[in-house]
Amino acid sequence: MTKALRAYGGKFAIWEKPASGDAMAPFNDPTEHMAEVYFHSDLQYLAKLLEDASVTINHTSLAGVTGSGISGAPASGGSTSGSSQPISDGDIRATDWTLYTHNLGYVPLYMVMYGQEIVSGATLVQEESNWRRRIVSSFATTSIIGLREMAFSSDDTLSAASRNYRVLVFRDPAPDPAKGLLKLSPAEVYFGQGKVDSGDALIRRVRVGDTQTFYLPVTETVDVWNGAVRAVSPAGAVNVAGNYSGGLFDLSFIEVAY
Amino acid sequence: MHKFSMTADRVFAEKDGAVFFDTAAYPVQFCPSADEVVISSKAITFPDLVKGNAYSYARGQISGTDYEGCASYVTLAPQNWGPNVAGEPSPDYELADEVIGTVPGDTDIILVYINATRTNAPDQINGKSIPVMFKEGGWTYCPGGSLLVEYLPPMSRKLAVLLSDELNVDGTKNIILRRKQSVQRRLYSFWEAGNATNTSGWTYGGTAGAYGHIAKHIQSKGPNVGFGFYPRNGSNPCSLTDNSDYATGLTADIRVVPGRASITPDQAVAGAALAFNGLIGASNGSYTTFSISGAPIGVPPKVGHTRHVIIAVSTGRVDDSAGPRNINSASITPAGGSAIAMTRVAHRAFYWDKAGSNDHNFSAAIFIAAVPSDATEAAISITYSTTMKSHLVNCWSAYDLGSASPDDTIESSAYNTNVSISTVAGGFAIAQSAMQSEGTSTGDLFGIENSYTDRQEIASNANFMDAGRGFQSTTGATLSIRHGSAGGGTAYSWVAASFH
Repeated sequence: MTKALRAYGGKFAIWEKPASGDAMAPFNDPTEHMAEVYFHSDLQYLAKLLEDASVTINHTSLAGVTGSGISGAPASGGSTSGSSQPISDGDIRATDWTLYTHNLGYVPLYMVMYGQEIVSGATLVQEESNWRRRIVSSFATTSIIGLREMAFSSDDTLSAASRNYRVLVFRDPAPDPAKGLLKLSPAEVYFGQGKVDSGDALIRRVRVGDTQTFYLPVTETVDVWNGAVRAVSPAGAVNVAGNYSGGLFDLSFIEVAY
Repeated sequence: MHKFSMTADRVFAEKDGAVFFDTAAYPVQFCPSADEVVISSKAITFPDLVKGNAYSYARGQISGTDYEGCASYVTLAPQNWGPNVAGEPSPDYELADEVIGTVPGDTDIILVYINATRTNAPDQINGKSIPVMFKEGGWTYCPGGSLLVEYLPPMSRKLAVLLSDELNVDGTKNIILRRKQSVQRRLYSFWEAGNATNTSGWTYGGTAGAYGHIAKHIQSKGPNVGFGFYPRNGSNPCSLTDNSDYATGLTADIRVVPGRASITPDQAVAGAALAFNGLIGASNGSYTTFSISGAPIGVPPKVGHTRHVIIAVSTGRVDDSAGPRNINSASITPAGGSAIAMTRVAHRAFYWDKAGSNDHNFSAAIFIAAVPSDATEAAISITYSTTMKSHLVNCWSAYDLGSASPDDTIESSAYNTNVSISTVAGGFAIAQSAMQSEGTSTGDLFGIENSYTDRQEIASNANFMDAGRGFQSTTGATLSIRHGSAGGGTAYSWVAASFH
């Protein structure tokens, strides 16, 4: 393995020299050779811009509702008269929370974590008997990072719950025109007009001693089957709702740090 | 004080002793914005659900006078929609994937953000609106590209924006939009099907059959004096015309940021290997040789580099009369290539003699082989010493292994206690188990360092098998594996192996 480094023609790159073929190909055309590139000024990187490591949301309770028989049907019946009358217990409530006010004026790339898990399109944060539960997903606008909460009660109340979330907002990956391609000095080091800068924490592969680690999913994290919902993370699979009987068991992921 | 260092093996930069750039722990990189897939106002539709009907008829006498009444309802059939769906509950309905863009072929990870609004809401179910599960008008980060769209028992819907595994002829990879929707299969105690009743009770009709969920009221009549007007087959029955529409429409802005998280084949940490894992097959059935076709085995190794495929196998049988039963051999046939014999590196066969015809056998094994071809898929064949009835296979691809010989192995039936396996820095460990839980659906778990994995449930004979799982240990450590917990299974085998 041999590393190559070059700053030329408005580009700066560090790459793995291919075992054969055009050794300059990763420098000249990085998007077609990302598998050999460690850094290239034409590419984008996720640099942490803002972080709140512990945002506490006090999710409120949702009262239970005892359902009644549907319109026009007999209230009950035995085996010969049928006992399938649906009783529509429970309530459903959507609540949007502001996790972080960034006021950047654009929608940034971001992630929200719950414990060691990235909040997915269906993250279960509370579960009680009779399918009472709270499911969250995240969202961003030009001013905030938010949390969409869906609460489900039964004929019993869904209890209030306090949960902590971590918010990561990434910097706009545009280069800084005030900086050059490469600066190496005792006082400062940066590459690619600041895309790598000693003042930044980049999302990167893990190394020994890392503590701020999380993961990037490579495969699907949520599935539906049999009317139910399942989510997977590196910690395993969770039936978010219903009796899932489909084929989502595991997750391929990349462990990263910053 | 800043430093910058470069050798043939490593480039790194540090500030005050803290490394902030390192080719040994390189940053995840993403394409320039011009190569992002950005789609505006994409119309996404979920079709109406398959439905049937339910009919309630009541008759009786009050003070010697005959009365009758009826009510009719739309029912939702059990169903699963998606690409190439198959399984239970059936029937299944095709909802094909759609290619919505392409990204560079070296892409191995995508960030997906979706800003969607529901433009067409489905009908209510029993008076409850089906909620949108995400924030309409906000940009939702969708890890793994997945987004739950709607959920209200007995139905659910999702969409996913996915990276194709396969290269196009022009060297790009497709970005795929996937939709899935589903209704639970649950048997209700309808009295009987169809028309042939003048007796009070519920009957069902149409596609939904006896598994239909009552969802929407169509019509009620009565009570009226007399008999014979309002039964399903009466002279003036309640309407069975479907008055519902459970289709959903979304309009979505989609942003896909393609990137690369793995420098292949150099795995950043010297001597390291990176394993891509996934369940490739689970089945019940009687097999002496269990075969899987089209198993994904990862991207081909580049020139001058190697790929090994590792498979982990569990098998079981609870109606046996002898044992133990071995997992004797395995072979892998890459697409377009010849069969390659795999080397068994770990094996455990557990026999529980129950002094009858219900003896239990549970076996697990790990195999490895170098697979140097250009193939991304392979056929895998596993041969047992006799017919087995539950089967679970996982597959991993590892690049530039230092050795095909494991650093450490475990072949065990140890239960509810921690067992250690050592890993080399940058290496990884794989574990797989076969177990039986006497019908218990909880309590038996399999994990490393108390991070329990998902359990693969094999339905027949109340057998349960744990899905194997890859554990990448970039730090190198002694990992602690615990199989089962108090009150759980009674017969099992499990194996583990570590490589680098």
